[in-house]
Amino acid sequence: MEKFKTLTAVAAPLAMINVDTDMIIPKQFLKTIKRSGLGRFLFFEMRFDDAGNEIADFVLNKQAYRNAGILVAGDNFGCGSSREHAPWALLDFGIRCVIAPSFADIFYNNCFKNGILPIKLPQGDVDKLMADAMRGANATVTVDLESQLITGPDGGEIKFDVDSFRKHCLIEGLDDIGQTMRRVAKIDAFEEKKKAAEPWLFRTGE
Amino acid sequence: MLATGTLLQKPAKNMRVAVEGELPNGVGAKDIVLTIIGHMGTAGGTGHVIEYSGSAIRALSMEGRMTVCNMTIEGGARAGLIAPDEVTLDYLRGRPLSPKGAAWEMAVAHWKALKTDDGAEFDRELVFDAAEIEPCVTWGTSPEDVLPISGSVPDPESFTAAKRDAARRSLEYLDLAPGTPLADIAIDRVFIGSCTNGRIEDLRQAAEVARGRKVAPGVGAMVVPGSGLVKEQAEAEGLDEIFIEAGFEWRQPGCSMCLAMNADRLEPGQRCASTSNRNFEGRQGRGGRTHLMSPAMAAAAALSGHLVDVRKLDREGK
Repeated sequence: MEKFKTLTAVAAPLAMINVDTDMIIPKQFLKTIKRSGLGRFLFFEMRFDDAGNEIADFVLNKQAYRNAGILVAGDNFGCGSSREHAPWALLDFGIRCVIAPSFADIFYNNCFKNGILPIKLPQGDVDKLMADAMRGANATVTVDLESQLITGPDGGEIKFDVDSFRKHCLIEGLDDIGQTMRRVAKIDAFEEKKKAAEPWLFRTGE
Repeated sequence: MLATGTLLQKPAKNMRVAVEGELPNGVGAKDIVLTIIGHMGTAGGTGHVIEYSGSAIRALSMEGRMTVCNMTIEGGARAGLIAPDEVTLDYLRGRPLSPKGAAWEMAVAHWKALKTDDGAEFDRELVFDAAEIEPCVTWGTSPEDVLPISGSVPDPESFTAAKRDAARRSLEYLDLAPGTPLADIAIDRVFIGSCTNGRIEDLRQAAEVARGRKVAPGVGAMVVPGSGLVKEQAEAEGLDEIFIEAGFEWRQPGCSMCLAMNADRLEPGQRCASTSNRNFEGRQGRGGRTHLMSPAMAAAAALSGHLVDVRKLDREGK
């Protein structure tokens, strides 16, 4: 997993609430289990028309936002299906940070597992960043994870909260498998105990 | 998970949703869970695991309980559960992967211990009166956009600022005008199936409504059993014949038009009465318009050609 320390990028405004994972990456692209290559299908139905042409109005199709690295969105971002393809698609497009007043739980967790920083901020702060983002390519925003500070295009700073363990994992680029393997002795001991107490869970075919 | 057999998790917060009392006739598990989601919103359960309790939940069959738990994620929570009781044990006894013999006895003793202690504290509690729950349908593109079938399409202006734009966008996508009675909304397609409502009891309820009646002209309706076992059982009970007789397609088990990953999908602009769990834009096919409801309500919509209160079907003489 790629480390996340600091990010300076154009922020794209997506002023919608309840952006669901079907919008982020529709089901026809879920047949892959590769994490790469999904970026061109990100927000597919909002980004392209039936003939496959770009819809000019959509934010990521506008010249200023084609290389956006940050997304600013409304409440409950990432709701619906738990597909991990949603953070994969964002990451593959180049989005490494999503800022919203609230996130759906599973999506929020999946971001951290894939090197994306989701930031929850009060509505007022999101509104300010949304207005900044509307200003286009000149509106680069800097997100510094170490100091937990967002610096807007005017130099204004916004402090954000992040769980200290998740912060550590992002900064170090540690994913779940690495974390889990460090506890393998405890896992083995637990499984032995479980086998004795609930043997019906451990059948190996009949 | 596949790499190590384990998952790193933070303990979730606890939430209890109690549904007390007796459900009115014609109202079922799907109406319960849609009502709950309509009340608390799709983010209402974020960070929580929900335990459902109360006399109306205990009175549900195992299939009905699964419908409620299945849609928990649409309420934002990580998982939904109901304490095991005799209904649970009766359901599990003799199933293909259930423990047998001494292992069964051991498992039963363990499962019976898995109930919430009296006086346990929850981070959040909600209580619903079952008697007040009506057959529900969705009017928008989020599972929280729920109203009783007796209601009308809401005016986006009636919502708080945060929800207003989403409601406007929903109504535009669904081509609905505020104030339209929900029961006046005509449909093109009906999908009865999915992991939410593709179980034997769901098919029985839909078949009960469909028995001896006909799908309305111009409506394409299909029934897709949730699994091979469900299909076998439904056929043993003759449900397939009831559906076919009434003009429904009887299909092979699978996900089908819940998410339109195969050829089962809505054409742009088509409107569907669906027993699945998600009514997002494009979920059932690009440009497709979804209204979520129970199997009985979906079957009633198929017969009427529009959304309808299943309890009023007889009076319409259809």
